[in-house]
Amino acid sequence: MAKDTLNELHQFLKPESRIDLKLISLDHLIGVSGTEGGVKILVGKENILKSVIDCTNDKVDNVTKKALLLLINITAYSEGSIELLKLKPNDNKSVIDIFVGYVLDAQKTHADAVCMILSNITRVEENVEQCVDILYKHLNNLLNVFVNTEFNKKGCNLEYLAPMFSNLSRSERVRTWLTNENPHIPLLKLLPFCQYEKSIIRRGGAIGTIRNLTFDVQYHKLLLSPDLDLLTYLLGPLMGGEDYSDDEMDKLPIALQYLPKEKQRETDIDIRKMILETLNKLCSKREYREILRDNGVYYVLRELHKWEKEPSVRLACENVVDILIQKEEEVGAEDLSKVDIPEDMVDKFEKMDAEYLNEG
Amino acid sequence: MAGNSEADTKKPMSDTERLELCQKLDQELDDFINSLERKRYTEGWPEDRWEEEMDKHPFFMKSNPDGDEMSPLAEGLAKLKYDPEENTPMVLANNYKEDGNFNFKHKNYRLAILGYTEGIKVKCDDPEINASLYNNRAASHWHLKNYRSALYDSEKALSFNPEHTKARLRAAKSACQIAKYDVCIQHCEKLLSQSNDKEVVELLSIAKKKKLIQERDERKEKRRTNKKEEERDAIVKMIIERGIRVSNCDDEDDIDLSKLEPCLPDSQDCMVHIENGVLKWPVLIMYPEYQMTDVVKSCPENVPLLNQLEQLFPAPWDTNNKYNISTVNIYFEGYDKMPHVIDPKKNLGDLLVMKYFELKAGTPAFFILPRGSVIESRFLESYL
Repeated sequence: MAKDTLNELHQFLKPESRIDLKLISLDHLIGVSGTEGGVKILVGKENILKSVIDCTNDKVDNVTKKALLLLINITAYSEGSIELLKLKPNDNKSVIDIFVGYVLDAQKTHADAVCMILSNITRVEENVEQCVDILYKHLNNLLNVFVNTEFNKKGCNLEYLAPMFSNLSRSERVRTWLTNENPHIPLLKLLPFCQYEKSIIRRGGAIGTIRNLTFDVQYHKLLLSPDLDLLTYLLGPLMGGEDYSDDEMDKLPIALQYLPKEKQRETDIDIRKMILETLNKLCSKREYREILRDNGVYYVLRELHKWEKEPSVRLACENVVDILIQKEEEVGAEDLSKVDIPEDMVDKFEKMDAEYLNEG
Repeated sequence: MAGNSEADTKKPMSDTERLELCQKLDQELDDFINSLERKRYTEGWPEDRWEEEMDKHPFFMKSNPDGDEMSPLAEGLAKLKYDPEENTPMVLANNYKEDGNFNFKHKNYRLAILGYTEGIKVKCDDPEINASLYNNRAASHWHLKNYRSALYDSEKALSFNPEHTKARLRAAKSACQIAKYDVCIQHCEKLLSQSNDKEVVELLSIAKKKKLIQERDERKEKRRTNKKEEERDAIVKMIIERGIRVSNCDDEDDIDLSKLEPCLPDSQDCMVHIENGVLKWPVLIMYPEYQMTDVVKSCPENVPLLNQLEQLFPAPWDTNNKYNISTVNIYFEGYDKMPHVIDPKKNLGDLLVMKYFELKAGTPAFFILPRGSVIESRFLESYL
């Protein structure tokens, strides 16, 4: 029954169809896309999906809007994302091609919905490399559009490009792009968004991207170089307006010294945790651990720990502190990322963590 | 050298001969100089007034001599180059610019500035010339270390020609000199959007670092003043809580720190302060008999006054050994203008809230007199 209805809807979605029929059909499809099962049915209907993609460029604003909403729903499930990326609706162009053009157009009203779709599609692990194939040549443009917070003239904030960048940074190519001068290092433009008050999405995306970079030890040197000033961006969100002794203050990155009393910590638990995981990753080599110590990371974490109520963040915090408070002789390993941990120990540690969290 | 090559070809002159000839020539020159009339050169312009003199000369004067009729030469020259009737504004502006450039080349930056200023005053409608006049004047100011003016003129030049790279670079540099780092950064970024000049990259990074330091110092200062204010507020609050009467204050709202600042030379740096929730006062002890005073700093309110006095006795001036805790009476002067005797075994804090006690100049003051002495009765009588 449902199948037949869907097939019938296809004809109403054609560009030349009546507007009211398009709208009703789209409404119906949006209803279907609300559940995982519905999406599973929809992804099998290539014709319909293609028509919906055509609708995203419809002359009628409401049609465009509904078509995009529908695609957000579909891409919310990885299956939907994967199928959508496979489609080549017209001229062998993928949805990514179409949507990049949409985002880079300052006059598009629903660019935010498109950013969400891009974020959804790139979130699926299997899609990443394929997306990078298409997006690579647009990365600079996309970054510029993202950085210019008033780019879109129709009131879109394009904040969902942040998680898209974070998703894409799982690809080696994107990590290389982010960290190479061209003529500037693209990452530099992303850093200020680590503390971008107006959008938690942008903050999360920026921090997520940095975290992905730290999974690769080869970038640690660059990340901790004085020019990049990464620690300012990582520690800033973890700091409140607490007082440090002058000696401790002197060690902190200069932009974080003597912050006003009203300074607030990052409100989002996940972002705080991501930052701590990032710091943990940066503890890889002895020289980097020393940079962290020299920049007063320990003091910031000590104060954070006093304040933090969320057990998982406290645990993440303690994990970093445990490394930093040790003298190098006690750490006893040049590169922690190369230390082999036996299988049974991994289990044991995980159990300990779980117990810790339960107690909390 | 010509002389040398000639000597080479002629050859026959020996070293001694050459030496003799040299000496002879030197002698002749000396004789000639000595034979000249000894007279100092007096017609030059005096060093301290050369600019004035220069302005008087028709070749250099920039304005007509007041009142006097112009010399024909001056008139002719002025007509030629600087007369608005004879020249279009554009030519005029250009002439002044050349005048400025001439002086600039000779490092007469002040004169150059005068020249450019005249050129600017012409207000010709060619943006290029105006940009150039302002830019050159900016350069002159820069050399004179007038960075504020250099920045102003550079930005003025940019208003006529936004693509004037030299003006923008100077604007950036001048802004950095006068600690306007944001302005500097803006100009640098604009320059870098066009070309990747190493000098600009460096300037930008310096400006950014200095800006961070500047901002940090501002935050630090703000924290410091805030802290001080908080401390002051806390002190005032505690004084009000304790119910200590402060002189010159109409009511509680009127108490502020200025009324608590000690005015004795010794006690200025020891104003009442809080330590672990305890007020610590400066205390003034007076000995009318000897006209001596002691100032005890940081007396905790929760310690008897006695303890402080024990530190002071025996006093070095007390040759007769009349002053010790058991032989003296201690008074304060109340707001009723009468002396009141106190019990030194009481805590300082309790003394401060006694009836009639009033805090003057932020320093509790006590008189010490030998009990039953003539001096004591005279002291008490003086109040009657």
